[in-house]
Amino acid sequence: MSEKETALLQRPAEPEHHGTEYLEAQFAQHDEAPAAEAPAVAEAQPEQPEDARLNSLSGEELAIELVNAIESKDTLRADKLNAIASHKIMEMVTDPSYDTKDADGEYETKLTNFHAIVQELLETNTDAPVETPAATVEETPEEQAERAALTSHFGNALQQFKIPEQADDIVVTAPEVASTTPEASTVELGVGAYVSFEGREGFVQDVFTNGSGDVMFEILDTSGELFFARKENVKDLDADEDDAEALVAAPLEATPVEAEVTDSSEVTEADAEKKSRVERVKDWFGKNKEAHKDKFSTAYWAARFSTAWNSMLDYRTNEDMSDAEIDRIRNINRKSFIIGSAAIGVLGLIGLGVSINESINADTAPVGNADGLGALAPDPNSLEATAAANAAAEAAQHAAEAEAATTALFDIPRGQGGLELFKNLGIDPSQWAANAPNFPSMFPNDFVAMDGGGVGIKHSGWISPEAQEFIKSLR
Amino acid sequence: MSEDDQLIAELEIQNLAPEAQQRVLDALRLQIGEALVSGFDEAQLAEYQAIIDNDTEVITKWLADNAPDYKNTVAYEQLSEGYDGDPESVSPDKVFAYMAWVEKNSPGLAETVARVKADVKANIDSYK
Repeated sequence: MSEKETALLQRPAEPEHHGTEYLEAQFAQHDEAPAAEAPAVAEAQPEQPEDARLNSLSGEELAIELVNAIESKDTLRADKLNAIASHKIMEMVTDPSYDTKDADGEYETKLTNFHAIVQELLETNTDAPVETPAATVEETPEEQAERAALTSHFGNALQQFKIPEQADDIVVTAPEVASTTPEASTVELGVGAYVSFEGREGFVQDVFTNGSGDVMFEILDTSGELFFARKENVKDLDADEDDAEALVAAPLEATPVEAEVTDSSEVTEADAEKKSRVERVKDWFGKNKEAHKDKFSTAYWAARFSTAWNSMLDYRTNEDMSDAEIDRIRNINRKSFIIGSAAIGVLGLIGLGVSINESINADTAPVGNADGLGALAPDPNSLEATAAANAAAEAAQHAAEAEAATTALFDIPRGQGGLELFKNLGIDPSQWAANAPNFPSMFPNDFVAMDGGGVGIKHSGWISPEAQEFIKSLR
Repeated sequence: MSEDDQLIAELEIQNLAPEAQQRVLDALRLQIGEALVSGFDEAQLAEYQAIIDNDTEVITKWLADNAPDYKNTVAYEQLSEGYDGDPESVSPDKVFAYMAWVEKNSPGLAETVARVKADVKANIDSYK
């Protein structure tokens, strides 16, 4: 670890913050040079034609491009090309069609080969830019012989780096099979079945018939979001054990409810719902609490500094920057990373129907009590402070909270479907099937007719008062 | 399934080596954060910086103003569990605030995360 990195790790809380002007400037810079310094493959900007061209280059062509970038001192481009090469090698050695028992070792070897080639190209080319490996001029016979040997070496090394082309070289993986094979889509499926639809996978939560007479599935996908699909369009992944065995094994644990499922044929709707939301939240924290707390541990950041492959903190830094500027950008990166981590965590909870800001928590407490789990662990001090003397006020408050909880059910969490909304409100699910087809025209700001023929809620958050009133009238 | 495992499945990068997976997830979190940060003003950024830097005064005030009953939530209950034995002693109030603040201050949170995820996935897919 460099002195600078050590200093950053040991630095106390930095009082300064970076305002929008600075960030906007950073974003502008980012726009001008997308992906150049991005950690590995991920880049939010749309791929540009130049990016597409670079991504399509062979290993040899990439090496030549990289040499040109280095010789023209274009650091950003060089970083980008290095990232592309690194990723392509990683993709190759981890591709199922590539026969290796040691992908990590193979990756290192090929990356070393690639860099050796680049280095040799740099050493054999004194004038930039390089057109081809054979572009050197005025060679002596000895130099020609050396280049011939070198070219041969390049050929062997680059052959190893050859990226598999299209489908001929690539084994179709289970997810692709699942999302593109329509056969067997109409086998007997029901609540609890593990299915896929247009690449999304999840468990069937409910089956109903829409206004057009189509049998519809309400499906909870592996990210916790609900969606609808016609029965005829979904694929039963449980039926394809050979193709999807490994794939199914992981999503079975997608949510705590599904984690208990071992035989979908035995699953009933009651089974799927037997775990309360409170338990789901507890499970979620059980699996993710340490990861979130880690974002504030010294060891976590020290590991990132000491891990050579991880350049996340150095995103958007370059050699021309001063140490102070690099530190400042690292701090922004750290802050953005933490905000992004928090955002993913928050959405994970919202996917379970829970807002972490639940003092505001209309969902959690009623569900916990209704499930007979008792009151959520209260803070003893808080209980003492509000005990007997405030009993009357407490009762009034509970009544208000109960009303607020009912009203709050119209504050739709991301991914909640209309059927779930009706159930939460205590409305017979058949009412949803009977009324939903009219909702997109009655309340176009709140409901949408989906491609699959179902009706979905158009947005998270509060639905319109008009829609609320109408739905309440169905109770 | 942990949050990371779920993201790996969503992005369909199960076949990548663990290091490469971690890089993608790091980049995803960083880019989601950047997308959200662009919607915050200076005061908000300063407040969040103070929270993640464990400024207890700011944390206490923010929680009192925005989530006064936070100690009665399942989330806080879970975060507090085992705190005494936590070698890093990361305050449960801080971890709660670090998430609650983002939820409270990011009106387009779900859409932003979905958009960045889709971009990242499209980018990954373009390499396949």
